[in-house]
Amino acid sequence: MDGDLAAFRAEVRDWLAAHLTGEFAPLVGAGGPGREHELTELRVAWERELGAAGWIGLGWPVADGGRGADIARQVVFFEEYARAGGPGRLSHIGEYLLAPTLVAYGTPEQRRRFLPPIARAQELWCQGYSEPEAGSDLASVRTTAVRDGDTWRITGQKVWTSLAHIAQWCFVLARTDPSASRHRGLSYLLVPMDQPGIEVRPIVQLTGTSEFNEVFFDGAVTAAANIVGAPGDGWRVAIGTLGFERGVATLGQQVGFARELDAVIAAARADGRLADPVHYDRLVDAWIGLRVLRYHALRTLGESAGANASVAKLLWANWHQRLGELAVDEPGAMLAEGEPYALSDAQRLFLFTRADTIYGGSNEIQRGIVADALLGKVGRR
Amino acid sequence: MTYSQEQEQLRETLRAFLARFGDDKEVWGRLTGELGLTALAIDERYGGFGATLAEVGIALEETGRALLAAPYLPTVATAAALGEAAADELPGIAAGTTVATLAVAEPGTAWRLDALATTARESGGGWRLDGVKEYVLDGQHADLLAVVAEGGLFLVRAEETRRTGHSTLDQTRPQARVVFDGAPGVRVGDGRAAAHAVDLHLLALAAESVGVARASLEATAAHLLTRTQFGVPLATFQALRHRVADLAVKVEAATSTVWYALRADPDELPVAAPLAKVVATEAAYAVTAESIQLHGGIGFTWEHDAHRYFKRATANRLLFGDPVTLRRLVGARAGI
Repeated sequence: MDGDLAAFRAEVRDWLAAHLTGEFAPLVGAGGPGREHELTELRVAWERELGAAGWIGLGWPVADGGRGADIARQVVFFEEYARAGGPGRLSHIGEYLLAPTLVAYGTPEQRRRFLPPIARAQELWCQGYSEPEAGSDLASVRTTAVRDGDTWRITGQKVWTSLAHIAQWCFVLARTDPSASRHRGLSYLLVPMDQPGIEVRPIVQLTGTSEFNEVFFDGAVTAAANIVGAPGDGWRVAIGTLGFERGVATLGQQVGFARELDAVIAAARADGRLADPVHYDRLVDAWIGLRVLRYHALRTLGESAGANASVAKLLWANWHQRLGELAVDEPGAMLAEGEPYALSDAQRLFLFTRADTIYGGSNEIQRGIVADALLGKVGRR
Repeated sequence: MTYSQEQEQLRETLRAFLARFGDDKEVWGRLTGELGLTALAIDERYGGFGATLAEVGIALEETGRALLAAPYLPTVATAAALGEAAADELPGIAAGTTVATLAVAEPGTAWRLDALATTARESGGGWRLDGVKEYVLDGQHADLLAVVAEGGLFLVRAEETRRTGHSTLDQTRPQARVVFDGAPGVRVGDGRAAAHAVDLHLLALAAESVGVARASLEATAAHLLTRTQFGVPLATFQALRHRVADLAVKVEAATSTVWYALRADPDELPVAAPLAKVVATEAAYAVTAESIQLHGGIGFTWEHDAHRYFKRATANRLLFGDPVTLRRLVGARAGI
């Protein structure tokens, strides 16, 4: 590791030690997948703390208000953040999905308007893609947007929208040309959430908690200029959003995985299951599996999403789900922690990881992408 | 980026070479003479090219892909393990005139280093070895044996031993039983050196298994694209596409794991090598087994290559420790 990188690591570590304390101390380990409902207001304040210090948009170009940090530094930030027990992020949808989309497809005006508030966490974003009738088959979205003077008027329903209840903005994939064929009639719109035409309803998941929402658009409006790409070009932009490199974030995610794995191993040690050779073999296999995730991320770092990103998604989702199963492989896991439905960390891990193989492109979709790379797209339905 | 431009060039050259001469009776002479393949990672002072394990790993992936029937793996893994400790032998290995191999396993206890019955006793300024070694790769063709015995790692000339070649399940790689009956030897390392030699063989087998797995996966994909049933290529059926995708995930994971282990710091190797061996050999076994199924009837015939890949994968999975044994080893070394 070069000296500059070590200095950067020290800078991140020192900053986190100095700031993730006092009023923010309760945030250590809070939030994230399965715990997105926790301490929301304080986490929003924490995002602003991060933004004020320049930690959001670390890898963006300097001209766009970022710090132009290279991949190694971004990895260091994620690793140190996770190691410090930094809470689940709330600004990541804007930072990692919308911002690179605007850099790639947006106008200079859009970049000037939207990137700075993302970097300072003054505007949080959510993603309006999935619909009740458009899950894996995203191109069949039915939400419509109609030009009305110098605005777009949006009507329809989105679902599985993370953080819609706190976001100020949503990027919405909507049908603007009903006469065009599936992929061609779509547009990518930036829509403010705080308006009478939008209603957000939480979805209660099998964990008993809510991190996802339904979003109802009933004639909601946004300015005509808030379209990314040309009308009808939304599919290309939406797919672009999904294609940005994620290896850096993956390495940070793995620090959290390591903490979960340590807890599972510690529990097995405490209750004697570790001494059982079959259980021991499964736990070591999980330990090995986490190493494999790391090595795969390191090897493919910097690649834009392609088949190897799908490989990575399949690897981590399956690994995490197996870990959840290992975590509850003891009879005490049958009992909830308390009323009404309070879950232990092990139970939450077990239940929430059923979603890992569904969201962000289900295992079946990912297998399709991997197969396409190997076998071409011949008659794949 | 996974590999440098020079590394990609090495891969291409070797792949083309093995496609042309892989089945040639003189392949060993050509590989070592024309290509200098055993010289790759040997220091320049001893007639080598001074490359690293990463390049050896690429060569092993390619010889695995070609199911090369020549003593490349044991020779280069043993050379890497010996290094300066066997400086006199390195020029011969680099030139391809010395075939080397590592003798570890014993009847009944396999590769358990804590149960070695082979002994070495000091005698007149040298050492004498007694014992029986089993599953010695290319043992009947080797000139030089590195032997793991009670007390460390020893070098023994092959002609000082009694060797019996086995008929093997994997016909592309011979094995021998080697008997040491007061055989004179030279001590070249302690118990740690012996364990390091085993780790390097685990890593070499892992790298080779990536090549085996990838070749088998590609052959399977090619079959699904060309074989027609119900009026369409098999590759159009989603049930088959998703199975191939799952195999591809295993191959990519194995590739990443071996890629990392070949570049790991030496003090990481005791964990990284057995870990890579578990992941890569399990992947190769899964892919080659599924390859037979996905090829259908033709995959069960002697004439088709599918069974040769399956058998190499089976042997690689067992050599120097099966996955259950190695997971236990990884667990112990990782402090679990």
